[in-house]
Amino acid sequence: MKEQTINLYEALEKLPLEKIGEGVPLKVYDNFNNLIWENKLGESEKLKVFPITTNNGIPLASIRTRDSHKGLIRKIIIKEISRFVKEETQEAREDEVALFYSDLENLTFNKTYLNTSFKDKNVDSDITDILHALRKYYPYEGCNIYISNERNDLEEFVEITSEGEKKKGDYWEFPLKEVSAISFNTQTIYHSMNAPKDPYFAREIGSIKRCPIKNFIVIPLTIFESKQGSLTFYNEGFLREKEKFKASWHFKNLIHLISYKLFLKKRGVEVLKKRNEKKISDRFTGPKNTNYQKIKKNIKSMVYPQERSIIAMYGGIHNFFEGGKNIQKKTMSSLLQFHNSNISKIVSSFGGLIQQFNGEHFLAFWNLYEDLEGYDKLASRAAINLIHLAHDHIHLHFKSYGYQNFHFSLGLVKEKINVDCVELKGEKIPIIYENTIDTTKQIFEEAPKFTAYFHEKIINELVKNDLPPMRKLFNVKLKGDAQGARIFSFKI
Amino acid sequence: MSSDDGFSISLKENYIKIHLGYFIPDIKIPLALYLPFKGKVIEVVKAGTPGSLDFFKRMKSNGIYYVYVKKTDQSVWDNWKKVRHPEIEGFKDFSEGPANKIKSNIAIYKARAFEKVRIVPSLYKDPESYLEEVDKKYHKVLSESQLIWFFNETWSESHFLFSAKLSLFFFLFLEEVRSELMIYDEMSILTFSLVHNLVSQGMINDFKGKPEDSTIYYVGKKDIVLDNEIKNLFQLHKQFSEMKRETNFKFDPSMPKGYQVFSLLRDFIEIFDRSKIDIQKRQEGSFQLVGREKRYEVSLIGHLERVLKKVKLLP
Repeated sequence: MKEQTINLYEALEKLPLEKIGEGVPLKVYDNFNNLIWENKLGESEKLKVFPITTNNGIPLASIRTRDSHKGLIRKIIIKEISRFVKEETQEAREDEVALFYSDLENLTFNKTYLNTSFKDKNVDSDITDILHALRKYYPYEGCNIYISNERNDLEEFVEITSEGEKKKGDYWEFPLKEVSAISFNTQTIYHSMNAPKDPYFAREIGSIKRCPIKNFIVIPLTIFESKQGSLTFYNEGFLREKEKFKASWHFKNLIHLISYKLFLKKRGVEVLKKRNEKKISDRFTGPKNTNYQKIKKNIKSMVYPQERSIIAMYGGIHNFFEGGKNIQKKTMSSLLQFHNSNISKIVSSFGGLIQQFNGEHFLAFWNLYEDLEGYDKLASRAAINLIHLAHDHIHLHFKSYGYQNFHFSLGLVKEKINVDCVELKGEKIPIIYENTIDTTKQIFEEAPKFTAYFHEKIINELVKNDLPPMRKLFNVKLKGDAQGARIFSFKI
Repeated sequence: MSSDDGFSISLKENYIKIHLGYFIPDIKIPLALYLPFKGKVIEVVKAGTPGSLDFFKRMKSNGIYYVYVKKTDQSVWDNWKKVRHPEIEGFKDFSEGPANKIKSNIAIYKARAFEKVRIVPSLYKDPESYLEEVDKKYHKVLSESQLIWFFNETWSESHFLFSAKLSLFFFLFLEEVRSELMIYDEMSILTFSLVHNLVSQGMINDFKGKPEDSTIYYVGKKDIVLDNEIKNLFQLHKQFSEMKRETNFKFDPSMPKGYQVFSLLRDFIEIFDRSKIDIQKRQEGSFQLVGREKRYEVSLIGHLERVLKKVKLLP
């Protein structure tokens, strides 16, 4: 806590002395006997000088007034001075807010979000960072967090003391679950100013011999109406004697950050899934829907051989099996299903047709079985949206399950081809003779190992004048495999 | 009226003033933020975008701690504020809420207990100082940290009264025959006697289970953390309650002594409360009924008989 100097002269000068001295003869002096204020009443009276002191006897001011009024005026002036001091202190604390915000830069959600894996140690280290930051503004000897588990119990999560960070199972300086439970159970902040004589916890406090506990503050960690645990500060050093703890804005914000991180640790995967399922795929869907029934009819009635301009798209996830080697097969299968259904949804919404899914890869065509106006424009839009989807959603989603070293890419080729067919049991099966598919596949294979990538050149060639020029928005700074990934967008 | 005043009035009418402390840099703000500037109100942060760190620093360096949001966005603001800053639940002070409720509930609880369980003064040397001592010790039991949640809730009258009766009777029983019982988990079993069967005012209509499950239902619903020893006693109670429903069940000396005493006293009070026997003979009649079941060890029944001579229960 910053040292606070109060200018007593200024304090006295600002007092509403006119109001205080209404109808009463009064002269107010500071502690060096400088006259600060006077009214001209009672000049003929014999007045006395009375000192105004703190409870400890420190002189603050003196007043010259009637004997009968000294008590009341003294009381009023002391009350006003306390109010002034309180306000000044408050302002001093506000000054610290700016400094505090600069620390927040390292504590926000982005850090975890971009490298999302809610179950790994990122969340833990974020919380430790926040606790260290808190220590800077709210010095404490020790602090710990107990979190609730599935058995409806509180368990040790982390403790910070001068010896550093301690996890569950380490030797804790303040292993007092009972103290954490009070906040957890009542959802209130409990401040014990004199811990050894606390009405509820004196016995527990007495059991800690190594680090005598003088005081403690325990705060519930709750977010979205879900109880996460409790945070306790032992032997705080930021309050004055007998000062009651009051959570400030920035304190509350940090507490919320901790609660939110704990929430993500427990339910991050679930939340992300829920949120994404509902909204994200809708953001990338196009204006048109492929009618599969109509295409079936078209295939039957099509004249073969036929020359057509088409677009082939080959895409999917690279390194799917190696990247998920530590993941259960069941999870892998559900993730693949998630990936395929999203791809299918987007391709169809741009008038494309998924010809086949080859494991984690897919092949799609535009303008193959039906005449589609602006098919190249639709296909390139679909490609861009798929890349956005892969970057914003699929990558994050997979990583949250612990997937590693995987990436997503697409190849697109526009070509004139000959479509013929073979008849099998009276059914016409279309055949493409050119090597379009191979070329597309090659582009896909060659794509660099970025999170999300597509052939800028090809898209540019494809769209030419059909689309507004593409604009590189920004290079996203990503870590690890994702480094250098680029996101593109259109000027609309 | 000056134009400045007019501007302030329209600002007040159309906007709500909020402290910047509500926001964290880089975290999305769901609604646009405005500031008055040269007689106009300008948008400083767009809805759905985060305020950058620079923005907060700039505000601070200009001495601006408050921003404005449109009154039309009030519902969005209220919802967001409720989620991000649930002061009512999250930052309420213990001393302003539960502290007084707990104190007053302990006082009510004690009053009920001493009203229904009384000692026979003629059998004590100095009954007043004995009662004073009992009151002190009993108060200490009730002030245990693990009972704070219990006194922070409003329970159904009948369950509250039964708990008060049982716990004080249990306490007096232990005072009388402690040396002969050797109960190693005395504090836990006493605490358990207080909380073993509770129905809060809020769950009277919701809870339809067996009596022994009522507290666990409440604890689960409210995410209350209990001490492990108490949790184990709940499990034990559930098992024994099932077994007791079979008429032939008898307690074995190897079964936990503390729980046996609790069960005996609980059965006794339950019979006593249900009994229609004349009040003068009810205590004796209930005792005989408990003894007739032959469910408990003879020595325990003997202890109960001894204590019942010195302690009187009222319905």
